[in-house]
Amino acid sequence: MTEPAARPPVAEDPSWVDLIWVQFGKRKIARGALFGLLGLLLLAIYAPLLASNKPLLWRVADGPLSSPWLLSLFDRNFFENGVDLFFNALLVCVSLLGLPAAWAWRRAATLPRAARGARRARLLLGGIGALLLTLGLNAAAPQARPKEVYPALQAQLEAQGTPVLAVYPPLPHSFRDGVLDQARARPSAAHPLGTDAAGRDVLVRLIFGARISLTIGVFAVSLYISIGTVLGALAGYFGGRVDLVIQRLIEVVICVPSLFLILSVAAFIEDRSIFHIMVIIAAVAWTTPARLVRAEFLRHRNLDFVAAARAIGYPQHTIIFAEILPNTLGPVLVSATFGVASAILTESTMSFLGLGDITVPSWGQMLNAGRTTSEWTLILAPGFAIFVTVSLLNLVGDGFRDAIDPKLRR
Amino acid sequence: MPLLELIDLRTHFFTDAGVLRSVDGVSFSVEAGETVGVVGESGCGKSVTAMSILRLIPEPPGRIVGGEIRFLGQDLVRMPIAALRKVRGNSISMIFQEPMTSLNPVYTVGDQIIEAILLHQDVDEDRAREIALDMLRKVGIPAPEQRIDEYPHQLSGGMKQRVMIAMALSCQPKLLIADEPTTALDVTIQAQILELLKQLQAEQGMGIMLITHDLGVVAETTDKVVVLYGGQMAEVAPTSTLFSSASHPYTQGLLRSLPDRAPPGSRLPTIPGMVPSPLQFPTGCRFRTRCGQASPACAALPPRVERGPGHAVWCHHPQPPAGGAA
Amino acid sequence: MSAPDPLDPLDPSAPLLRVEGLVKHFPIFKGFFRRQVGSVRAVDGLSFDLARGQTVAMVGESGCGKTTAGRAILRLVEPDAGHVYFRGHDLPAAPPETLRALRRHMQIIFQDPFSSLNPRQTIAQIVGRPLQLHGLAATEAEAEAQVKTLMEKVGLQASYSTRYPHEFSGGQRQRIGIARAVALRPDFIVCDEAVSALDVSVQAQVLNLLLDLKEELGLSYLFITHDLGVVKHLADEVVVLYLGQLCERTTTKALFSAPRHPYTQALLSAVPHPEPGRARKRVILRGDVPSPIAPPSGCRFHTRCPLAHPRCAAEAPAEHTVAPGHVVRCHLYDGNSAPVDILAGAPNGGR
Repeated sequence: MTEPAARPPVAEDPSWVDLIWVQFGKRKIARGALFGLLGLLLLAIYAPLLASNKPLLWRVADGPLSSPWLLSLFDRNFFENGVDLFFNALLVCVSLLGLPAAWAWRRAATLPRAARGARRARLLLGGIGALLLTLGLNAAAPQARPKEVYPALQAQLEAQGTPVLAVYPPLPHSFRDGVLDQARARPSAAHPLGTDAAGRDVLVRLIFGARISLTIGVFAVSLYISIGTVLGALAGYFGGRVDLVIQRLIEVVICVPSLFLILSVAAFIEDRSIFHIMVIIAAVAWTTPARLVRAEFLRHRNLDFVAAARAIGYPQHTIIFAEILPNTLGPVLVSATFGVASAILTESTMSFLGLGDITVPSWGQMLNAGRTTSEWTLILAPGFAIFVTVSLLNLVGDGFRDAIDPKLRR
Repeated sequence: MPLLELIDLRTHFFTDAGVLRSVDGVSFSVEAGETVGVVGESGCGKSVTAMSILRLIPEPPGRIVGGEIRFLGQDLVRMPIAALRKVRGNSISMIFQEPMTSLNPVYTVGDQIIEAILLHQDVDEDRAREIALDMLRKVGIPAPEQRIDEYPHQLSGGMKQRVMIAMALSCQPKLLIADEPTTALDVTIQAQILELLKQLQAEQGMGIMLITHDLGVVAETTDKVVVLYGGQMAEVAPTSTLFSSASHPYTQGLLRSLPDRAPPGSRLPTIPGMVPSPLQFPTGCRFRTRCGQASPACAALPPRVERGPGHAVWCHHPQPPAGGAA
Repeated sequence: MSAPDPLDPLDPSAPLLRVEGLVKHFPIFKGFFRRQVGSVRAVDGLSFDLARGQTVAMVGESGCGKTTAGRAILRLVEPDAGHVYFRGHDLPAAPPETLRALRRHMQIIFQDPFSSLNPRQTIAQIVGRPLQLHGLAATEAEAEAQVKTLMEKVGLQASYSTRYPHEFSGGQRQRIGIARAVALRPDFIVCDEAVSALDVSVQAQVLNLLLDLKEELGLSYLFITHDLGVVKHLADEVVVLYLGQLCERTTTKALFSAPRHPYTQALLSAVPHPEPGRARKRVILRGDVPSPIAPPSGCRFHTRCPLAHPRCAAEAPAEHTVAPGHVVRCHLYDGNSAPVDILAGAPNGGR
């Protein structure tokens, strides 16, 4: 055994976040699931690289070499959905900055705690800035190229005897436009999971569906976590009349069966987009984090460190949001992870019942479309995708829950 | 033959962070009718020692890795668990610090005492209720006929501790282990409870092992004191000897740092540093990193030095009694 | 409207703080409509002075209202009635802005070293942010430099300032709490059982630190504790509370040598002393402290008092001054200033 005095004074014990992270890492299944989710995210980001009917490289005869694929990423006629434009911007940023940023992030681990936090915060801000810049440029200079169907064009040119160089992504199909004469094709080399009633490749739509599902999950949950956290914090901190009003509001919302509420509200909206769907989900689901945060605030507001903050003279909003709130976020994070899974399921349910956004290739829409055909691939494929994603999220949520529980520390 | 004899008891905890040698060579004895105080600061191993006697330590990670616990000549460490259950709550009883959490909130006070009696004594339920009422009367609970059918939350902290004592003593144990029985109580209630224990001991002749950090309680209620530091023996002495002529530098430092003994407003003599974590105990004498008398010799385990009748100290450099303080 | 402050802040002999008739009742609500069905009378008319550079100890058993009194004085809970005069203001009537500015001059140290520090903040944030809030440090770097000085002052390594509270032991956390309290250079500090949760040897270290800081910074303490050993060691004056009301108020010396109130006498005799064989008689009080929701009529101590007589149940005693600066609230001292010993068993004559 060593002398206790021999301990170097610079050695830092892990912070709370580090502790949680180490605990999470010790749970192998949860860690695997997190890697799975990361893979799913990469799949969603790089979907156009896997599947697009725009050639990556294109040259007609001795003409100039071009990349219709690259230009299509910002083409408002091709990717008309905001979700896709967002993910395409993400694709560009991650491809250009991803590796250097990851390297800088890892290198920051050797810095002392305060400097490390600041460095990583700067990196994160820089990343968000780059993304916003890309999106802004895209909005400022919108591209709207004529709709050209390159495989058809290529066939036509080659029939005319013009030599064409064209390199396509592995799945040279559009997620949106079907080829009607290939409708309801059985799985084959060209269409690994077959095609649907409109002749669209099922695998391609499945890959692009990951974008929709992740967006709905993450955005709906961020929205309702923000609402719920603020309302819960106010109710828990102030108590009394504020609490009474917010509590009754929560009770009114949870009294109504949420699926019926969602479906009725959705039925009133014409031209439902997935943003409407996210808002509807958030409007119903905010009660869960609100109640969680309220309970945590009730527990914390009588602790001495809150009394100390008041004795120091901090303004009320500082006490609520800077002193107490960070202590309540552990359980909220766990519930958010489960919330993403449940939001994906809710969207699928809505789409399946025909109350979703029919313009996007969400997994629920695909299930709904599959229901009307008798092709088993059309039902099994999106069902399996939903199952895998929801399971991964639940496993990660379980891991986080165990990691923040000091009783289960290993 | 002493009622209870601990011989070189070692209880370690095997955790991911390393082996915690929480109790590492503790030896002392308790005679019938005697009150032995076990004192030390948090982390000195006094509660683990108590839990080890009835083998109540969580296993794993804890394990008694060495030593003997002789109770009336039988070694409790090697006793089969079925035989040990007959000892628990019957001839050895235990009371805990928190009267609030030691009673089950969904049963009445009577149910809990009667169940303990039925478990260990060959009596029917009516007789058990009589014994329970008798015990409640003995521990000074007013209107026991009414209190026996009340739930724990209807009683005050002092009353709950009285109920715990009634339950512990209902089987006429030969040894009572009291782990900080009055720490959660107010002084006037503490005085009541200590008085009660003294009086019950006189009636039933049991031995009491009193674990506490309060040297005032030790001085007023015990016959003999065991001082632990870092899971090891520091000093054992009759109570009056300990307070008048403590020999271990730790005991002396502890007594000097009491505000009761220093002139008002003066700086208190302190022991420098703090109790090391059980993962980082120094080798040899575990007090040497904070000890003013430490020398290179202290890197070896301290020897047991006899200082007088019943007074022994585990130290390489036992000190002469600190002058004048008591 | 705020009453004029009877204390002259420029007069060095005037008390730093004066508490007059402080009352705090916590309402108890029941049922769906949250009807008020009663109240916990935590503090019921408390008055005392805290002189500059002095330590006043407030003692009593659990439920006597000492913690609530400490917090009501600082307006961490809103008092229902009474005055607290401090630096030219009556605190219960002070507007929020004034109060926030005054907070700099009055601080608090808590009992529980584990719940009193925000687990998500580093020591630099816990101790440094208040400095910036009150304009004692203009920049973060300036605050950090001051934090390091403060940490050394309370006996902690300055390099630990980037650590989180969970990395420290109980005694070290208590030092951090003390650093936070003295950082704003206050005039007085409420120490709410500040050493009760600590081990004996650590308690001695922290008491020494508090004494040193008092000397160095000219602090006054309101020391809330149940440990009479600590009171005897560092208090100049003592206020004894029972069920939210004052029993006795006097100098520490007078209290320990000649306690007057029967409750004070019983309390002192109940404390175990670390001196074996000391011959003394002990009064063991009957029963428990009654509930502060329904305190006994008349003198609140009469249900446990060995010297109670019919008048005690009927009529609340007034404050009687038995010697200069020695106030007792007991019928035994109505027109009598000679000590009455409860060990003697009977009140002396003259009444």
